[in-house]
Amino acid sequence: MNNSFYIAWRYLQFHWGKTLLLILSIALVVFIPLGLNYLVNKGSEDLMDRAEKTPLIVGAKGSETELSLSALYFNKPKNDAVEFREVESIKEQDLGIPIPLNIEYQVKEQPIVGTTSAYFEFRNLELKEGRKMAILGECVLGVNTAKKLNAEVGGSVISSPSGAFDVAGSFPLKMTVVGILEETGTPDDEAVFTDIKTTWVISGKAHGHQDLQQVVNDTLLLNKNENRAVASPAVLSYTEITPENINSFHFHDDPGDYPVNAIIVVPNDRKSALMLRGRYENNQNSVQMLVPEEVISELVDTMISIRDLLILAGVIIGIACLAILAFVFALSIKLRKAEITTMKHIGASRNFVSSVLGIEIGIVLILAIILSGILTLTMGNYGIPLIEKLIS
Amino acid sequence: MKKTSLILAFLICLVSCKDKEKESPQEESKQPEEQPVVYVSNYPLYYFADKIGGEAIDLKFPASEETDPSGWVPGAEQIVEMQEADLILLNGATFEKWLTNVSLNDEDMVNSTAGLEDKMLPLGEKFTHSHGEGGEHTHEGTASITWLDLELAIAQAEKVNEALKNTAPEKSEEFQANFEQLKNNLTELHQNYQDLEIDPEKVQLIYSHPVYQYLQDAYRLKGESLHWEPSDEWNHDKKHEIEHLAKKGQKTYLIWEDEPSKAMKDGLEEMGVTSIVVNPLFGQPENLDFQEVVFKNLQSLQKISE
Repeated sequence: MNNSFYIAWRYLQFHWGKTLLLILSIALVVFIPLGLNYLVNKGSEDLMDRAEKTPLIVGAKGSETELSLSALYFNKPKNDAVEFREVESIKEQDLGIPIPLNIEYQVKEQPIVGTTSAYFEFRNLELKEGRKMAILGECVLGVNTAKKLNAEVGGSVISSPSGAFDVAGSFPLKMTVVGILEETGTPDDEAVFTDIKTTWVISGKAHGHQDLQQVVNDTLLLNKNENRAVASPAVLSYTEITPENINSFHFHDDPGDYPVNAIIVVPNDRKSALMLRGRYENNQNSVQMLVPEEVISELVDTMISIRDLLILAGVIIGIACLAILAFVFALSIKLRKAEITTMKHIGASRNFVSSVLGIEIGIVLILAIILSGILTLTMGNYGIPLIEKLIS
Repeated sequence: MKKTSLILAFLICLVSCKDKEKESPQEESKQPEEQPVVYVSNYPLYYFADKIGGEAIDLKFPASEETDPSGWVPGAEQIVEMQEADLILLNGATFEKWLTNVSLNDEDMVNSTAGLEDKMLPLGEKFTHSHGEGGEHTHEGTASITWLDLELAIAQAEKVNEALKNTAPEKSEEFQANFEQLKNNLTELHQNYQDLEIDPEKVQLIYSHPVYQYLQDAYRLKGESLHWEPSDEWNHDKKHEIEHLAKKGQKTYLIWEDEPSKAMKDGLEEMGVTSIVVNPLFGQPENLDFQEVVFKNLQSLQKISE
């Protein structure tokens, strides 16, 4: 047996190029269905895990998938925003805790999540350093965001315009970093968390400027009397909130009209959840309540259907490839007829020759399976973030 | 004899040690109960929470050093501490102007004037301005010294009571009993205020500041408001202002937040205007409590009606 193995191994070593090609071909044929299955299963588990931990989501009527992905993964919202009074209305019903999310803006590629401190408790987010945001203009960074933006506690980050053609629409606000979160392995690591009111400052709904009643510079005022002042465009809003100017920040109109992209609702109990869902189901207005678990489950089912089709295709291709490989091995034996005859002439039995050829095939197959296993594990570690990036 | 007394002393010591050993587990079990941490934004709420919650709550009034807590601006560190609170009692009616600039959990906050919006009064002053793309808009305030109407003060105390009962349900009975006592006292004071009879045909009231809207509205004490500080000097402008306001044939009273300067008082007296103090309880009063100040205010107002 040792002799057979030695001769087989030496043969494969001598023909290393052909052997490597065979191992790679077989490994890929095995890996495609195996890796795809692993990847989809792991991705589904991760998707479902975050969805299952989020009881209810409220948002504008439209794509349920878009709303769920916005609330869970902070995707740029494609549905309309709802009014903040929806949050107040849920609070008044006393059936659960509403957690508003405003996800309209970004710092470079990182989403700004305007919310309340209840979000940190809801997701069990722990601080690696610093503290939670306390006043307007402060933010807390996810651990990956801090690395990507090269930001630290005490530093600052600046919000980006919400679109290429919106250079004047949103407010480039300089926010002070007051905390960095522990790593969670979830989209929270990629976010810039701030109070929802700060996102309204970014949107221009709230702003701070010089007190127009105290302004003495005539170039800043077009018109002024005891009860009324009209400022000239020279009066600029503050782009940074500091202890000196924080009191000048004010909200225009009714904050109940202000936008909220999604509301996570944590019901008091199962009965409260059912009551809330019932109320929204009978609701004729433009707001919907959904169970993210159900929406993501549908998304996962679609992914699994596609996976099954791909696996079927992979298996068919695999069978064809294995048939070709069998043909290659058969041809190889035929080409090695002189070598086999020499082995027989120097005393090798028929069984010995068969075992050498069998071990050669076995080594190639085993190495191919090991390689496909390594590829699958690598895909498991690096493929999920890749899929999440593709989804977002 | 000496040996016997030594043995006796040893035995006594042993018994007392054993007794102490027996006591210690009981002492250990008497651990202090954890008090819910309750923050308040102004003195009247502090008084109500203290009267109702007593020793059962850990009451904190961060703006206690301020003369006027409505102008208090909390720092980030104070907000961080408030984020850890079990309950934050707010006055509402735009008293807490800092609230729009901070990040606090909605679930922890209780607005003591929530549901009383129809009883809120306007500040009486508005300012319109326009700038940028936003167009013209008006900043109009709500009068926030709500507790000067004792009916509203009782309603606020009731909200405090409900909030404390929700925070520490095991103490509900104690809180309710304390609230009932407070309510009775405030109701009696409210009744006395309602009994004030000041004839607007004979008496003219002028207020040093527009902060008495609820007092005026609740107890038929209408009058015009100035923007005078008790520390202001008596001068020609002030005299002119009074000449402009004072109506002939009526006894005029100027109601101050605090004792004015002697020169001011004398100057007004010369013009036939009597100064009286009605403390609006902006900040924590020295040596007196809420009810005592309200009673003292009542006595001042009773002098007018006499």
